[in-house]
Amino acid sequence: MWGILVLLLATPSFQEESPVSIPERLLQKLREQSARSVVAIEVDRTSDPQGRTGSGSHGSHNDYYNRPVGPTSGTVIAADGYILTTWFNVSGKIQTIKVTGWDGKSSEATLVGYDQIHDIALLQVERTDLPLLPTASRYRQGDFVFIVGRSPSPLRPTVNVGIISATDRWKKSAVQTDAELNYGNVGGPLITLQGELVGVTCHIRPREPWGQSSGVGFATKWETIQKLLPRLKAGEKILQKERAFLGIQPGEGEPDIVGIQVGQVLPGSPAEQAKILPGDIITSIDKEKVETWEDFLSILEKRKPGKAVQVKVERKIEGVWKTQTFEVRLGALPRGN
Amino acid sequence: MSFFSPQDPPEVVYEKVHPSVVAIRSLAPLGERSGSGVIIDSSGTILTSYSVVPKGAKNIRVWTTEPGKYQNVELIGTSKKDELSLIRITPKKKLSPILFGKSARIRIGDIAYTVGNAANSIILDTQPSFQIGVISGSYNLQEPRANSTYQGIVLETSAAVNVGMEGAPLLDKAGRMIGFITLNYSPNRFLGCAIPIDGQIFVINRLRKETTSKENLESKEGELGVSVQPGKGGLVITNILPGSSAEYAGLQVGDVIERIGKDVLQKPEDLDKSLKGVKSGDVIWVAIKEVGVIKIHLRGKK
Repeated sequence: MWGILVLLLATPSFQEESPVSIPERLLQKLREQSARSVVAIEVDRTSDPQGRTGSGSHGSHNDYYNRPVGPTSGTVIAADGYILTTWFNVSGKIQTIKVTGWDGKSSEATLVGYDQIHDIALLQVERTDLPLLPTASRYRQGDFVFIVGRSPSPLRPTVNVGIISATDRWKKSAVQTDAELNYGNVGGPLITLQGELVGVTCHIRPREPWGQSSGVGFATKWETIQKLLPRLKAGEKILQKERAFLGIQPGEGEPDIVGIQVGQVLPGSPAEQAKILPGDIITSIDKEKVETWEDFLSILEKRKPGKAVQVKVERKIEGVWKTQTFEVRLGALPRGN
Repeated sequence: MSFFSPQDPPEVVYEKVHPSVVAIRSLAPLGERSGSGVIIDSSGTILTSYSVVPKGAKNIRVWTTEPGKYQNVELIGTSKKDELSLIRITPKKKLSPILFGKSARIRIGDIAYTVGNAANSIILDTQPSFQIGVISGSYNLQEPRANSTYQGIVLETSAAVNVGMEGAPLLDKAGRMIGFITLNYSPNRFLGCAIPIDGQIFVINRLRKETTSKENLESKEGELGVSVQPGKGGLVITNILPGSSAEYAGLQVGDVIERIGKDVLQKPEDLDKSLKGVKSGDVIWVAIKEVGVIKIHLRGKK
């Protein structure tokens, strides 16, 4: 691939210090080629009144689920008019889904199936003239990629360029990219400079709390999609697993004890019923060591709501740390958290 | 808006640098801190941000690109005003330290990369995340912001910088470290910033020297630890011994040594002659072409 680019750029001598840009012509050509496989999606829907339609299992921020309405993007994924987009793009109480193709022709789409865990949804339109993208078999961290979207104007495809930041995120189901993802192009394809599909974009982190650039976006890999496609085509609706819930929020930590400190105990939660107190330090659950918040979450992930667990804590009583064990019956995580 | 340099495509730079990047967490008096760091020598020294490992930090944990975390991490020293801390892990296998570049040679518009623990990519998936951009500015930040303690000149980059990246390296287009990410930023720009490495090397070496003086006592003869060949008006460095004084001082292959003290160097023998009788712990002044005079604390011969 570099060979082709270098040829396109060929100048008699490379100055060691002068970087060279991706030729605009190459990007234009790739955009023209790929944009036919990208559609605009407009949904007429009533949003979930509680605004609790999503669950940020893949690190999405809450405002991903509270975003403005408007056209989003989708990727043509299989023959017979199958289109993949993010599940969130088509969630809620749906009246109609309108899909606009590269030629400006709009048609009504049906929601065939979806997978909340991977944030993908399969739509179908009655069209056979939407081309498929070739798929990428090999890519590495650092490879240039771009995202094509069709929003806000369905007839004017957008292009955002970046690199692959990480190849195996979220249990190897997704790649991470620094190409700009936003509410308009999410659902569009992530494509290599050879014009091949890496995955369908999802799970964006639109901004960080301290205001600096985000540059963290994810795309569900083609391999993951391929495995799920037969189930989605059969109309399956894969729901977010009900997750076990203890009901604590992290505290500041205590330098001398390895564990996670309880900052807040949520009212009415299993932790409150078991009389776990703010300031307690959880050191193990069912004899599995808890050193970080991630340890804690991964232990909970392995357990089902309703199961009883032994939570070992260090508690300061009259200035002395004492070990205590509580039996807690885990609850279910409220949706939207 | 995007770029690459044909000599070093981004994926090659990533291959080179990713084993040097780590994620770090520690318990500070005000709660748990989390960020990134970078391995700077083969004995396991890691440079990170003071905001990740402040003075008095306990229960420091390091995640490398190998699965599992390090249990025994030693705090070497901290410098609050430079916003840097040094810690050390005991290597389980051969480490690949990052190479330092010269931040003074960087120009606005040069390609730059950030690589670190964005969205906990190292802790959750043992993959540092890798972002590209340019050096988009360089300015003086005069107020501390967020958890930052550094005030002074920073390098701004359009490469993505996120929570979890504090202490992560900013790299030039060849993957050499030219700065480390600070939480400080300009509210007029809202872009990531890094503290330039040049001015920090002296601080790093000072902190490091305090723990290396012991091993130096046992050795007698001082050694710079470079192989050289004549050229470019001096001696061109062709190789640097791992863990040597030269590596600690941030010398690089390709640097041209013009003088040591007052001795002008023309032939490889001149280097030996100039260093004759110099003991470990002694200080020498080395003039490097295009860089200036660097003060080096000599370490003992291995």
